[in-house]
Amino acid sequence: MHHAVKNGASKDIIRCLIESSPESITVQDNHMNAPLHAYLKNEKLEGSLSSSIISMLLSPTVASLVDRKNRTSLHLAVIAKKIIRLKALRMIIDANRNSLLAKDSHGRTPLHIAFLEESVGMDILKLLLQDPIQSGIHHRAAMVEDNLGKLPLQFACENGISNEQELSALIEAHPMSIIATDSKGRSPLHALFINKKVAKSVSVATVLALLAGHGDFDGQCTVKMEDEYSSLPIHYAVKNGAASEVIAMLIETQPESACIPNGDGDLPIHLIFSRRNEIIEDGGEPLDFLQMLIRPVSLSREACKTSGSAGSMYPIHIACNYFLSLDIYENILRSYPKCAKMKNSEGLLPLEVFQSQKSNVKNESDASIFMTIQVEIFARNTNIDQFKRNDSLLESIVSRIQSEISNDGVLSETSIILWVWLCSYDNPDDENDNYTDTVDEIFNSIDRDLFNDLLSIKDDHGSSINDIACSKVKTLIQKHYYFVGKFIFEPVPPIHRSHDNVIVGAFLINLNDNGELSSEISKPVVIKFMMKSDSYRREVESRSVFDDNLTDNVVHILFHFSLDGNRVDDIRFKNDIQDEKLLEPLVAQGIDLQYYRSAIVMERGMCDVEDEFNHSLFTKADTVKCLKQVGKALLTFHDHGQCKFHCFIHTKVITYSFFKSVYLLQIWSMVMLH
Amino acid sequence: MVHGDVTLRNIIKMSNGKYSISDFDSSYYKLTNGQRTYFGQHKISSSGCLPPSAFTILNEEEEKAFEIYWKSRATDKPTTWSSSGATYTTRSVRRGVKIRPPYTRMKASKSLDVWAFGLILYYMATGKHLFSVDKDNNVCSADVVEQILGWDDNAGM
Repeated sequence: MHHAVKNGASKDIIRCLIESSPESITVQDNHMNAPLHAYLKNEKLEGSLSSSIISMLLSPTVASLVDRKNRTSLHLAVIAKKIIRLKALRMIIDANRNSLLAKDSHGRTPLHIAFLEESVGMDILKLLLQDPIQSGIHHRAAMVEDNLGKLPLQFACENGISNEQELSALIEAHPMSIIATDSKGRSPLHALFINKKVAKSVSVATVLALLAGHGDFDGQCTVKMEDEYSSLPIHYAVKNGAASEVIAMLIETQPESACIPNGDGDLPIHLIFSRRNEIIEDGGEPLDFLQMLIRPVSLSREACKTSGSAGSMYPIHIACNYFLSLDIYENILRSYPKCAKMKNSEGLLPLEVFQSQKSNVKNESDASIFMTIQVEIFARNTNIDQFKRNDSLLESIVSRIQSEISNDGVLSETSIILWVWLCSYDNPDDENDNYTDTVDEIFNSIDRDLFNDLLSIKDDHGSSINDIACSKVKTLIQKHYYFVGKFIFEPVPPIHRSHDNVIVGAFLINLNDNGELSSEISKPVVIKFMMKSDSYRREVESRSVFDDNLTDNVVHILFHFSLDGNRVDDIRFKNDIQDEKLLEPLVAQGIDLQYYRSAIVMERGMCDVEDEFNHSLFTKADTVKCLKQVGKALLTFHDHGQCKFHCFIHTKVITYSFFKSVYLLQIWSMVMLH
Repeated sequence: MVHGDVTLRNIIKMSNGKYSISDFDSSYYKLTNGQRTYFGQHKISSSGCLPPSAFTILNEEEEKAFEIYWKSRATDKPTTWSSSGATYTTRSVRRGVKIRPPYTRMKASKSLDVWAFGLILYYMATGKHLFSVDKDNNVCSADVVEQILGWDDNAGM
């Protein structure tokens, strides 16, 4: 019988043999094959298997016999799926429905086997998915794991010969299989991309079928499921060259999946480079593919910090190796600013790596984007000798700050970093190594109104520009910031306050003739704020009567400012008093400069004479000295005013002539004191 | 030029040891258009340093005229001192009005400074104010105004 079925005996002969020895169909040879097994394994056969021979060789006993590899006749029938008729298959199943669940030596059911080598087709699949027992427990082949813990769905995905319809049928038969993992922790979605050959041909429809799931079981979560190597499906997909539409779908479903490193520490983007040559050969659009993978990464700080299994390949380095769209660089730098300081395996910084992309600049708009990207990267690592004196880079920084402050009144994050850097950079070993000229260029090119906006910018520690600026820039600011910025106000109540003026103490920050900050201690001054323009005019004009040589005995005005004036100082005053921060110490004292429309700044004396006198500090000699000097000063006033007055009032005690003789006065004082 | 407010408070000892005069907002100087300068036509200096000629007495009629004269400029209205029917004030004037005050206007002159200087001299020599003043160097009662107005060659003898 075994020989007959193996060697293609006709069905009549076989029938004859069976009739003479009916039990022969259950006899197993030394390979444990029953005649039916032998027939189904027959490799010499041409054309399809004969259903009638099968029906003759079949009995419920035969259907339960297994060969040496523990395969039932159903297993073998499924292996021969291309040459067996559906009717014959159905007969084999019906002969022993339990064989639907029978496991071979690998623990595989006929359903598993169906997904080996060739596509199974829906008809056969439907048969295999039947319930083994018509009613009762729902235990289907779709629920049976093989020895590696793989469900038929897993198995089907891994072998990659099934279409989405077949997969959907499997899912429908056992919805939970969508999230079931094998002994290596892999989901069906992993399985799709595990094999290099299979992964390449995975279609969008297949992935969709898996993502859709069935009933309560949603396949989307499997996108983020890790296997025992901490790899996500997307890692395998990228590594094994899945189509970019397929990868796009995975990213779209779970953008974070692009940001998770596998067990080796590689992000999906890193894995591209394990098949880099293929991408370039593809000729498709590798840039789009790269951008798709790197865009979610750029938004995740953790991902931007991932340097890959090869080490020193941060996402920023990958981005800099190409000319990608601006937002990717911006986002990476925002997520992980420090990456600009990281060197790749060749010891190059991102900005250096990016120089290779110069050749990809095709037109003017490319050039401007190229420069913007350079500025973005540079802002996060300004300490590169090669670039920090690069004229075109600096020029681009200047125009960026100018246009942002002029158009929006605020600076972008990057510009703030650069502005803070320009203002604060100082080389202790080289007094000429700073960016004072650049800052000056910015100051000179912007509207005065914007000056305060630029100075009110704070660094990431909350310090103001004035606090962090290097000494030369500080001086420059003083020069531009003429009035209020020149003074440090004393945090004490005003020296004097009347209904129309306030005198406060302050220190003048010293500037030498070149407008540079001098090392001397700040000069104490008093500032008199006045409400009445007439008082201001008198203060200023009366002093203009005598120049410095005429008398030392006048408290001179160092600076004066009026909101109603048009001198340079006045205009600066107007701008300066709008700066709330600078005026804080004044506001704290209740001085609202919109009422005090003018101010004069004078050198601060030690005390007034009344205080000095009343505190018994006054000696006789002091009295004489004081009166002599005051008298002299008054004489100078009277002689040098523009006004020639007539002595209209006849003063009765002290005559003018007496007053004129200061020596007499001295004697008189001495006498009085004695 | 006349300082117009020479008081102890306005003489400052500078860090170099020199005494300097400050606070020129009451000063008088000739205007370029040749207009005459009258006492009190702008900020009123502290009344404690004013000479007798800067004060005047107002009778009832004059007092009414005085009120009218300063009506629209209440904040600039000079201080008045009253006692037992008599009202005193300083001879301040308003600029830019055609009406005249009910007293003779006084031209600003260096005599103002000379008188004030004399007061300082007296204070330094004696440690007392010749005429009592408050802390802002203002005359604070009509009695004191009477004393000042009554000053003559025989005073203090």
